[in-house]
Amino acid sequence: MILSRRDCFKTGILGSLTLVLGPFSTSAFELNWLDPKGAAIFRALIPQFLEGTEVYAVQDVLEGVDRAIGGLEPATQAELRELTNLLSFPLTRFFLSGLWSPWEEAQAEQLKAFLDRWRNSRFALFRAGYQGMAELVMASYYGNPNGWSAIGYPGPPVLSK
Amino acid sequence: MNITQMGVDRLRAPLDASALAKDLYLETEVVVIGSGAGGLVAAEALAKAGILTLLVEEGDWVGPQDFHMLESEAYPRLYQESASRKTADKAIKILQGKGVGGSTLVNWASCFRPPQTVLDYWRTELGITGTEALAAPLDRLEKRLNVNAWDNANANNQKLEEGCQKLGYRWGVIKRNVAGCLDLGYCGMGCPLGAKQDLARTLLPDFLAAKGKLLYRAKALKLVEKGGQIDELLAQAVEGSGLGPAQIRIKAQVYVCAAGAISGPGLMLASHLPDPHNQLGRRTFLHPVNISGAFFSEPIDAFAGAPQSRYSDHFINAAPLGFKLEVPPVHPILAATTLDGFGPEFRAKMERFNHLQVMLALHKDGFHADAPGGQVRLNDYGRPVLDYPITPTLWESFFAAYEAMGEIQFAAGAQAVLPIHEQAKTYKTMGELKTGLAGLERAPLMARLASAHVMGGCALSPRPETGVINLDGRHHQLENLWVADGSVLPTSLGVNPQMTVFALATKIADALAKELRPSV
Ligand SMILES: Cc1cc2nc3c(=O)[nH]c(=O)nc-3n(C[C@H](O)[C@H](O)[C@H](O)COP(=O)(O)OP(=O)(O)OC[C@H]3O[C@@H](n4cnc5c(N)ncnc54)[C@H](O)[C@@H]3O)c2cc1C
Ligand code: SF4
Repeated sequence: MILSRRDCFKTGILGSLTLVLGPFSTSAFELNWLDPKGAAIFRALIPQFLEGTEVYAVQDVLEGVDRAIGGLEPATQAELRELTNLLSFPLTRFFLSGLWSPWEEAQAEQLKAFLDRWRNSRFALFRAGYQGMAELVMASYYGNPNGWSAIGYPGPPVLSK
Repeated sequence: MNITQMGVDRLRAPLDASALAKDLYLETEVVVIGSGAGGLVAAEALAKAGILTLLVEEGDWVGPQDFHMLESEAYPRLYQESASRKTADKAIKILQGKGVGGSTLVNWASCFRPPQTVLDYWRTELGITGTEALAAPLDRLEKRLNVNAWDNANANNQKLEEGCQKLGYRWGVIKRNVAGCLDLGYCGMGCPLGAKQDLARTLLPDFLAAKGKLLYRAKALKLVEKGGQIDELLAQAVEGSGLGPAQIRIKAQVYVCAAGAISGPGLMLASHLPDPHNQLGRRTFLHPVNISGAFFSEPIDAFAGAPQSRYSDHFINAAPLGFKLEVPPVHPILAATTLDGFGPEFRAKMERFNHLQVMLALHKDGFHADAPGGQVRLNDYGRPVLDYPITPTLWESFFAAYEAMGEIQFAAGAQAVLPIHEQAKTYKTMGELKTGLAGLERAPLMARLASAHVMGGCALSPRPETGVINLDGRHHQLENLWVADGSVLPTSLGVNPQMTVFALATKIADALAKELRPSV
C-alpha cells in the first residue's frame, strides 16, 4: 500500500489523464438512464442553464447528466423518471411548465420562463425539481475539464517530481 | 450459487466481496459494520484486545494512489449517494463518505475536541456520565494522527481571520490530522499524497496486523433478531452503484453497528429491531449550514491550500442556537451546485470563480426545543431518508448568520457579498445586504443549505425511554448489539465531530472488550 512519492505522482498523472480523456471524449453516444423523453427535456434546458457559457456540447453535458443519474439512489432515480414523464405528457406538461409545444420545439424565452417559475415557485416540490435539474446540468458541465480554463480553475495540480 | 463457509480467522487478506463467485458464510467473534470514524476505531481496539473482529464496509478499499483530485471521480466513488444525499424534502444537501476509512477519507481534516460545555450539558440535562473517560483516548489519538495547529492559511481562510480581526471577533487556528501535507487543497477527494492521517492509513494496518479481518464492497442489509439477540447479519456484495449477486451471512457473538448516522439507524429500522420507545432514528442532527459567498478583487483560489485552517466561535452562544463559522474548499462542481441561479446570471458568478470566497455557518441543533433534529425513516425502497424540519428558530439563526458572515466578509475587503439563496442578489454594502436579507423568504429550497456533520439517531442514554443504547454503547433491548459511530451522539456538538466520534468509539470498544475478555 505504501507507494513512494514518485510512484504516487506517476500513477496520479496517468490516472487523471485517462479519466480526463476517457469519459469525456467518447464519440459513441449512449444513454443508460434517461429515456428519449427525458433526454429531450434536458436537451432543451441545457442551453438555458448554460447560457452565457461560450463553448459547450449539449451532448457531452447530457451524457454527464445521464452518468450522474446512474449513481443516485433508486428512489431518486424513480422521482426523476416521474418528473420527466409528467413533463413530457402533453396535458401535464402544459399544466406544469406552461408549454403547449413539445420540448424540442419550445422557444428559449418559454424555457427560461419555465425555469424561473419553478425556481421561485410557491410550491417546494417545483423548487426541488428545478434545483435537482440545475444540479445535474451544472455538475456535468463544470465537472468536465473543458469548462475549467474559462472560470480560472487550473485543474488539479500536476504532481511531477 | 454454492456457498463458501469458513471462520474468518482463515481469511488471509482483505476480501473484496464484489469479486465473490459464490455465496459466503462467515463466523467471527465480533462483526463491526462500517469502517468510518467510529467503526475503524472500535474495530482496531477490539482486534488489539485479541478479539477476532470482522470489519464489513460497503465502499471500496482505496488509497492515495487511487485519488486523482477529480470531483467527477471522487463523488460517485467516495460519497454516499454520489454526494447527492439530501433530506427527504431535498432542502439540505448531506455529505457523508463511503469506503474503507469512511468519511475520514474525504473529510477536511479539522480536529476539535468535544467542548466541555456540551459534555456538561450531557451530564446535567441528559444524565450521561463518564465522559471524563474521553480525555485519554483524545490525547492518544491526537498523537497518533499527528493533530497539530495549521498556521498557514489560504486566502479563503485568511479572509475569515482578517474580517474577525478587524471587527474584534473571536477567531482561532484549526488543528489538522496531517503529516507531510503540501497544502494541495484536495482533502475532499481523498489526499493523493497520503498526507491526511485518515483511518485507512493510520489504524487499518494495525487492525489487520492484530486480530482484524476486512470484508469490503459488502453492504449490510439486515440484522436478524431471534429471542432478544441478534442471530446473524445478512449482507450482499456491491457491484457498480447497485448490488451484486453474492449473498453473505455472518454469524458473530457480538454485532457492532457503525454504519454512520442515517445509514446505521436505517439498517436497524430495516431489520425491524425492537424499539419500544420510538427512539430509533430520532434526534438526528446536522449542524445545518447556510452559506455566504463574497467576491474579492484579488484572487482567492479557494480550491488550493488546506481547506480549513481558521474558524470563529464568536457566535457560538448567540441567540437563538449559536453557530460556528468556517470556510469550505471551493471546487468547480461544489461551487456550481451550490451557487444559485442559471443562465447569464449564474455564469457571471462562475466566471469570477477564482475570486470567490465562501463562508459557512454551522448551527448548533439539538439543544433548543425548537431545533430537535430530524427523524430517519425508510422510503418505499427500504432505504433510509431523513425528515428534518426547518423550524422558525433555525431560520432565525440562519438569517443572523447571513448577516454576521456578510459583515466579516465586508470587513475583510469584499467587493460584494452574496448570501446563497435563490432570491438573493449581489450586495455591495452592509446596508444593501441588510435590506436584501429582510426581503428574502425563509423557506426550504430558497436558502441553499448543507451538512457534512450527521450525528445522532441512536442516542446514548442512561434510560431506554430516551435513547437507543446505554452508556456503555450496548443496545437497550438487544444484548449482543452495540453501536459505535456518530449516531450515538445525543446532541450536536458545535464543533466538527470526528475527534468526538473517535473518542466515544474507543470508550465503547473498551467496554465491549472488557466484557468479552474480563481478565485482560
Ligand atoms: C466532506 C466532509 C468533510 C468533513 N470534514 C470534517 C472535518 O474537517 N472535521 C471533522 O471533525 N469532521 C468532518 N466531517 C465529519 C466526520 O468525518 C464524520 O462526522 C465522521 O466521520 C462520522 O463517523 P461515523 O463513523 O459515524 O461515519 P462514517 O465515517 O461516515 O463511516 C460510516 C461508514 O459505514 C459505511 N456503511 C454505511 N452503511 C453501510 C452498510 N449498510 N454496510 C456496510 N457499510 C456501510 C459507509 O460506507 C462508511 O464508510 C466531514 C465529513 C464530510 C463528509
Ligand atoms: S491539503 Fe494536505 S492533506 Fe489535504 S489533500 Fe492536500 S496534501 Fe493532502
